[in-house]
Amino acid sequence: MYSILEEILPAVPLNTQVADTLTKEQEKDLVVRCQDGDKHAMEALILHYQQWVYNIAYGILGTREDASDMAQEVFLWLWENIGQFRFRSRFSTWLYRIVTNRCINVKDQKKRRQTDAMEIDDSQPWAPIDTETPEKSVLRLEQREILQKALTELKDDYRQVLVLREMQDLSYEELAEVIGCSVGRVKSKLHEARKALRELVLQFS
Amino acid sequence: MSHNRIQKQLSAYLDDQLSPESRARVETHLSSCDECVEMLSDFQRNRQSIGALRHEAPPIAELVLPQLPDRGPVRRSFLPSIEEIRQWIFRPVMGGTFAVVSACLLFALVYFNLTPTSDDSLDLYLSEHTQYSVYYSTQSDGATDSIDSNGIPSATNVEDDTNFFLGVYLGD
Repeated sequence: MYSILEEILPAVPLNTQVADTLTKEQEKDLVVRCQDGDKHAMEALILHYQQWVYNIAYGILGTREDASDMAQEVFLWLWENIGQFRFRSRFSTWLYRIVTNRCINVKDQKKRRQTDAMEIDDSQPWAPIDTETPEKSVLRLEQREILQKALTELKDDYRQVLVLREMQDLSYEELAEVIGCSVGRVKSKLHEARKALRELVLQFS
Repeated sequence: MSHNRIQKQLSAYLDDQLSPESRARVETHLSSCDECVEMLSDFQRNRQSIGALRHEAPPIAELVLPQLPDRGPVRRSFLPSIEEIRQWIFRPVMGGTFAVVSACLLFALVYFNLTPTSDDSLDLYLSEHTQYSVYYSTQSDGATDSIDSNGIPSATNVEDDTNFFLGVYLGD
């Protein structure tokens, strides 16, 4: 990943920190090159954002397969439609908005197709974060399943705000831009979402 | 501050989004309220659990890059997309403002379309009448003689006024 970024942005010495957070200028440069049809720039953008896009999709859609499909779909769409980005906000904010909106649309379509609650992805359980004792691991898996079930039961806008905040650690200002509301509204929405999730987790425990 | 108001601030407290004063108030309340402590602890635990859902993505770039078609520069859009317009309009504040402005414009449109436009002949009359009044008051040797105590012109003057207007208006 870093070698590609170094190649694309030779002026900036890239280390892990820089690669994790592109500056506004670097981001703009990559987007302009993508708009001009530069596939290397697109590759750098994908490498930089794939983890974030995938995890947002995973948080909202709930399965690895759906998240992977969604991430691919988003980047393919991006290649064709990157001209729609008008540099009025950070590219990352724009991309988050696209991903969350598309995920919510897909979820809505799925809901219409099936009345059952979303299936738990048993075939590919959550990857363990660290080495644990079997007992702890079972407990953790159980907690995750409860959390996942609670997340699927949450209202779409609550799930969106929680995933963006807790998984992606977006600031309140970034959240306001992605969701399209005021910072004050983000504050209250986040509280409502956390409260609703807590009630669901307690209900399923 | 009441228990409910403090409770509403727990989320912002967790995210370190409170002013030092509000933070101190919440902490004081937490020292004596088990319910809020429990809620905060649940918020914290759920936050960690959601954070733990993060994991390594599959090699998306490897899957996507071979599918990207070659293309030249794309057309850059200077107009907002439908999605952006939709999001802008449906913001609560913007939505309300948009509704009020639309209602005002609609009202103005209906009102001014239904109200007759000003009559040119009346305008002409008024302007000529003003000129005539000035002329009359300077020419007559006593304008006050022709106005009664209530400030209303005498019948003779009104008649003269009308004749003069007709003369001007009909082009005599």
